[in-house]
Amino acid sequence: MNANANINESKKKGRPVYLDYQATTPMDPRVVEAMAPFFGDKFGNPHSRNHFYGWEAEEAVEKARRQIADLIGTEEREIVFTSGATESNNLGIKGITRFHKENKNHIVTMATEHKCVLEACAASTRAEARRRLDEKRNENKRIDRTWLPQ
Amino acid sequence: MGMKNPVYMDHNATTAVRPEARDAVALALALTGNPSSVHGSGRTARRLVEDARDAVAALVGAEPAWVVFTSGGTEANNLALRVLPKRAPILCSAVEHASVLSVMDGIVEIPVDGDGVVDLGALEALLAGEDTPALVSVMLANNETGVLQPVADVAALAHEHGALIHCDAVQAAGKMAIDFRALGCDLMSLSAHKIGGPSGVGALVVTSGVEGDLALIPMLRGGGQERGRRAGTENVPGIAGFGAAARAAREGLTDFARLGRWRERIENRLRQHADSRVYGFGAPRLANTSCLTMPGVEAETQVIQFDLAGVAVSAGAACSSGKVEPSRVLAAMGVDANEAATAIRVSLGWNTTEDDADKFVEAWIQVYGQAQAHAA
Repeated sequence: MNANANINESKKKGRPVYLDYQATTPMDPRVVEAMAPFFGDKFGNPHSRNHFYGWEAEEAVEKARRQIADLIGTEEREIVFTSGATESNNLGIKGITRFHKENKNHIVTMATEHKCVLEACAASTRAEARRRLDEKRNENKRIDRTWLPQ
Repeated sequence: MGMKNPVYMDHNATTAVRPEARDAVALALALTGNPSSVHGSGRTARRLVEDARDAVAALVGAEPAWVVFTSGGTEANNLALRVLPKRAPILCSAVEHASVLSVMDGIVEIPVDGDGVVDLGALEALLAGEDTPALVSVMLANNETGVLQPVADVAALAHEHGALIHCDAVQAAGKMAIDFRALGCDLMSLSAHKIGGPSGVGALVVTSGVEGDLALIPMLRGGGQERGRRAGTENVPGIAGFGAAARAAREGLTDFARLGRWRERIENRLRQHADSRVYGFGAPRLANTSCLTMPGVEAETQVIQFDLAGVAVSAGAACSSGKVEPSRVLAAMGVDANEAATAIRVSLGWNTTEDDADKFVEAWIQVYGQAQAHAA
C-alpha cells in the first residue's frame, strides 16, 4: 500500500493516519492469503516425517526458504528461520563470537546500531572491553578507523 | 498417498488450529501496530497482547505478570534452564523432551519406573547429594506415552532441598486442568500450537519469587520487551491466537477428557486382535495419548501402511530430523529395543470424531492382518 492510498484509506475509516512504518507495517493482503491455509487444513508439524500433514507443512517451509534466499541472493541452506530479527542478531553475534572465542577477540560495531545488536555485542564481551567501548561511544558518535585493532 | 485429508491421529505433534484462534489471528493481522509504540495503533496491539497474557495465565492458574511470551515451547524450556547461575546442578527426568535434555552438558537424569513415572526416591537421593541449589525439571505429561508425572510431589521435594522446579507442560496444557500454584511450580513451559493455537508462539511462566532472588538470564537481548526477560517485537497475531486458543481449550477441558473413552475403546479393541502392549498403561495418562505396539511389525512399516490406509500416526516423537530413531523415552522405561521398534504413537485431539477413532481401529486391524498374511 503506498502512502497516499494509506492516508485516503485511513481518512475514510476515521482512523489516524499511520506514519510509523519503521515500527511495523500493515500486513500485505497477499501475505494474509498465503497464511490462511495453515490455519485450516494444512496444520501439520513440518517435522512429522510419517505422514501427509507433515510433508505438506515441510513443503511450505522449504518454499518460503527458497523465496527468502532469492530475495537476498543467497543459498537456501544458508537460511535459518528464527522468531524475528532480534533473535537473528542475537544468534549471529553470540554464535560467531562464542565459536571464535579462542582465536578472534574483537567486536567492532557502531553506536547507532539497533539496541539488540549492541546488547548482544555487550553480552559477548568481557567487562574491560565493554568499558572501553562505552568510553569510545561517549567521546565520538561516528566510526573512527583508529578504534580498529591494528 | 491415501485420500486428500487422511484421518489425523497425531495431535501431540501438532493439532488443528481452533476457529477461535484463527479468528483472533485474522483480526490481529488486519491491525497495524507495534505494541511498544505509544500511539493509538500501538496501544491497540498492546491490548491484544495483554488480553492474551490474561488468558494464558488463566489456563494454568498463574498471574498474568508471570507470563513471558516466547517463540514456542523449545525456547521456553531453553530459557527456563537458564534461571540458575552457571554450573548449578540441573536434574531432569530421563523422559524429558529433547528441548530440555539437550540444553546443556552435565544434566543429571532422574530415572523412571517401567510405566515411565519419575522415581521420587532416586530424586530425593540426588537432591541430598547436591550442596548448591539445583533446578529440577520434570514434565507434566510425556509427549510419547501421555504418562503424567507427580509434579506436586517433585516440587515439594525440590523445595525441601532448596531447589527450584520447572515443569514442561507443553503436552499437558489444554488436555487437563492445570493449577500452577497447587503444583508448586516455579517455572512452566507452554506452547500455542499444541492447544490449537498458531505455531511459533509459546510462553514461560515464571513466578515473581524466582525473579526476586534468581533473575532469569535472558537469551534474547535488545529492546527490553517482556519486561527485559525476552527481547524482540511481540508476535502480536501469534500471541492473540495463543490467547484465544487458551480460552477455548480451557472451556473445552471436559470435552477433551471424554477422548479417554475412545482411547480406551481403541486399546481394548486392538488387544482383542493381538497381544498389543500399551506403554505407561499402569500410570495415570493424558486422555488422548496411546503408545502401543503391533507385535512383529516395525513402526516404519506401520506408518507407511497407515498412510496408504488414510490414517496419519507417528512412529515416535516428531522432532528428530531424518530417520525414526529408537525412542529414548521407551528405553528409559526399560523397554526392549526390538519391542520398542514396533510401537507407534496415536494421539487424539479437540476435533477428533468417534468416526476417526473407529477408522483407526479398522486400519490397525487391516495393517496387522496384512503383516500376518505376509509373514505366513
